[in-house]
Amino acid sequence: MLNGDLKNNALEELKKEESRREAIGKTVVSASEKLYKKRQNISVAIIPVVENYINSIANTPREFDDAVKKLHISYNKFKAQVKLAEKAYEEAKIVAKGTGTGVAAGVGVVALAPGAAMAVATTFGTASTGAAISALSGAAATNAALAWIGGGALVAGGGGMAGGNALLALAGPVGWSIGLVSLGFGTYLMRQKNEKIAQEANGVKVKVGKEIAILNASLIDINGMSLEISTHSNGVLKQLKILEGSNALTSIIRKFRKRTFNDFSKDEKQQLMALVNNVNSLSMLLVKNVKR
Amino acid sequence: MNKKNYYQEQAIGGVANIINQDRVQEMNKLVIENSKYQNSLLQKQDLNFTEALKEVNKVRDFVNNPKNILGSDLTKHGEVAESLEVHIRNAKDVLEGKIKVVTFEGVGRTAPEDYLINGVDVQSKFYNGINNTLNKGILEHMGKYETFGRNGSFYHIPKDQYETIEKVMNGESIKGLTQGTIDKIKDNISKIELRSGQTFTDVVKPGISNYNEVQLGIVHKTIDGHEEAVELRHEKIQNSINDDSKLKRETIKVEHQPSLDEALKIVGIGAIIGGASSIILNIYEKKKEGKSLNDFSSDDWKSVGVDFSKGAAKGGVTGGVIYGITNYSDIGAPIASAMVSASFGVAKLAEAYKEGKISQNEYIDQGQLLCLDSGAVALGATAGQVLIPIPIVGALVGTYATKIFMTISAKHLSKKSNEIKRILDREYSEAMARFNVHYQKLISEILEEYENVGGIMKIAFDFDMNNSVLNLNASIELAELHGVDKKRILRTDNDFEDYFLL
Repeated sequence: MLNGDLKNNALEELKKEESRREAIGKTVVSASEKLYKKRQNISVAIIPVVENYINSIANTPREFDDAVKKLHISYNKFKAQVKLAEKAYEEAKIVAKGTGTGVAAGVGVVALAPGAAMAVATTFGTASTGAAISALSGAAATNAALAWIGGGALVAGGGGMAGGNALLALAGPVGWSIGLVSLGFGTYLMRQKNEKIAQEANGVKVKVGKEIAILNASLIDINGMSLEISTHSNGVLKQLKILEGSNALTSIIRKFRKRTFNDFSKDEKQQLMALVNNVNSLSMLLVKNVKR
Repeated sequence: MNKKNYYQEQAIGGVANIINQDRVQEMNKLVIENSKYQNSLLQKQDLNFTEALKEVNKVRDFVNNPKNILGSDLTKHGEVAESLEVHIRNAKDVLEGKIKVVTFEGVGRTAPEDYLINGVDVQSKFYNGINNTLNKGILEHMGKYETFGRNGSFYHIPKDQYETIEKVMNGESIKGLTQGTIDKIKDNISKIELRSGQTFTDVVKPGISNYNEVQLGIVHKTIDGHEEAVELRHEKIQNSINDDSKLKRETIKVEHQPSLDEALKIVGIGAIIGGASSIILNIYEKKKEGKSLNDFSSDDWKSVGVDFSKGAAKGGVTGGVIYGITNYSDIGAPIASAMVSASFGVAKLAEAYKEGKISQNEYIDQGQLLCLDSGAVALGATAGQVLIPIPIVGALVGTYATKIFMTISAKHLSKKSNEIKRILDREYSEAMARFNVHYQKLISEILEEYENVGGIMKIAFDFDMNNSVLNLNASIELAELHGVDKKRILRTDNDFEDYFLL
């Protein structure tokens, strides 16, 4: 009658949408963490090995680790951000201890532990890291809105009770008229208020729904990247193994002299060039971000 | 919409109202009677006062008309004294509501008496000097009339002279009197007692005036003094009438204050109403289930009994609280009843909330609804009672009308709520549908890209087909796709030489 059901319904649905977002956010974070670990692994386990091999053939040493360096530069940038995140995390934990679990759930940073923050930062890139973290832990903003809505309703309820008491103390025809108008107007106001809350909750629900969709897209992108880098690095390893298995190349490597053009077959030249190209591609994949 | 029914509280409130009104009406009746009585007393007193003033004016008229006065100018004060004696005495009696006892009626111009008091003859003797009064006045008169002063009749003399004589008789010393005069007074007293055969005080009594007060030059002042005394006395009587009435009214109010006895009476009636309606409801529900009274098991009757006790307890509390509120505040029975209803309702909700049966939101929402409902019922019941001046029925009809109104409003408003809900749902699905177009495009872009890259990778890393040209070309394509610096991509024999052989 006072649109109370309307309000409660809207808030309930918003809560459900909110927890859906939390869930997909967690999935995105864990996918990011997996990708991060994979990239770290490739940067120490594959690229230096290929580099070694190439340099055992090339007359002048060649470096691939500028890509690795690039990765480290990116990591250092992220680390600064992660430090900030860690600080906020610790502070939030202290606050959470003082005020109970409700706040812990409400403060987004807490939901994102430092390790995960690093993973998220490298997955989504420098520019969008802040936005990404807030998107993943947007619960904070929405929960604040919920708290406001809840508080608003409580305050209004209090006023309603006090108003009711004042009304009951009224007597006489003038009092009745005032009472009647107050009752009607109070009902109207309460309905309006609850309707407004329902509308706001519905608006937030749309926003959360969009965020869920974007996180879904990100998840597909991250999984694609993960598969891509796995396939690519496996391919590079396979290629390296084939080249290492070639007796002709091995004998060239063992002769400590300057190599000449005719030392290599056409296939060998093409495979070596392809390996260099592929390692360069792999380096780029290490620092590729989710752009959407 | 909550199912709270307000009828029981309103019914008990109606009973409390009747009992309160009975008491208040009885009190009002007594107070009005008291006021009427007070007015009649005051009116009567006003009449007495007018009569008293008339008596005083008779003396004035007498004095203002010297023709009336017998004897020489020197002895005219004797008649003035008589007039004062008669009329002022009467004025004082009339003022007090008594009948006049002093009169000139039936007294001849030359009779031995001057006036009658309660039918007893009185001769007034005002001479200058006590012994003149006693000797020339009384003793000579006794000599002239043989029975006067001996048959119950008596003499009035100036008040001041009488007081002096009393002192002489008591042996007190008196300033300004020689021993000779005192002895003479004693002698005269003895003579009067001897001649009358009675004590002096039986034969001679003080008049209301002193000797000099009745003299022609002074008598106007004397009359004014008496008039003033009458006025003062009148005021005093008026005040005492008012004070008495006020005291009486206060007593009436105290006697008609709300009492524990009456409160208990309403508690009892409340308990009966509460218990009875619970029984009726219980039996009605059992009947609805298809049980006839004959089929009732002992358990069924037990539940009726339990319901009765619960209903009675609640009804009793309701009655007591309503009695308290209506008597110790300015709140009327219908509103007090609604307050009790709301209190019970909120208490029930609070209990449900404490037990975890309802959420905080539900507690707040239903509490608000309940208070809104109660407020409306309070207004409705009050209006009903005013419009339909039948005790209890008016309030109940008002309550019923309000409940119907509230139910219809609730239906109408929840219809509206549902409409809003539909609008909100549509807004959400429309927004999401619009967004979905964009989202699907994004997803297909992502998938397309990976499919494309996946296809190239397949060729780049397929070494079983023994086609290095294809492997190299695919690697070039991948490097380009992944944004490798073009100068660093190896494509030709020259590139090979530059990279490996320099």
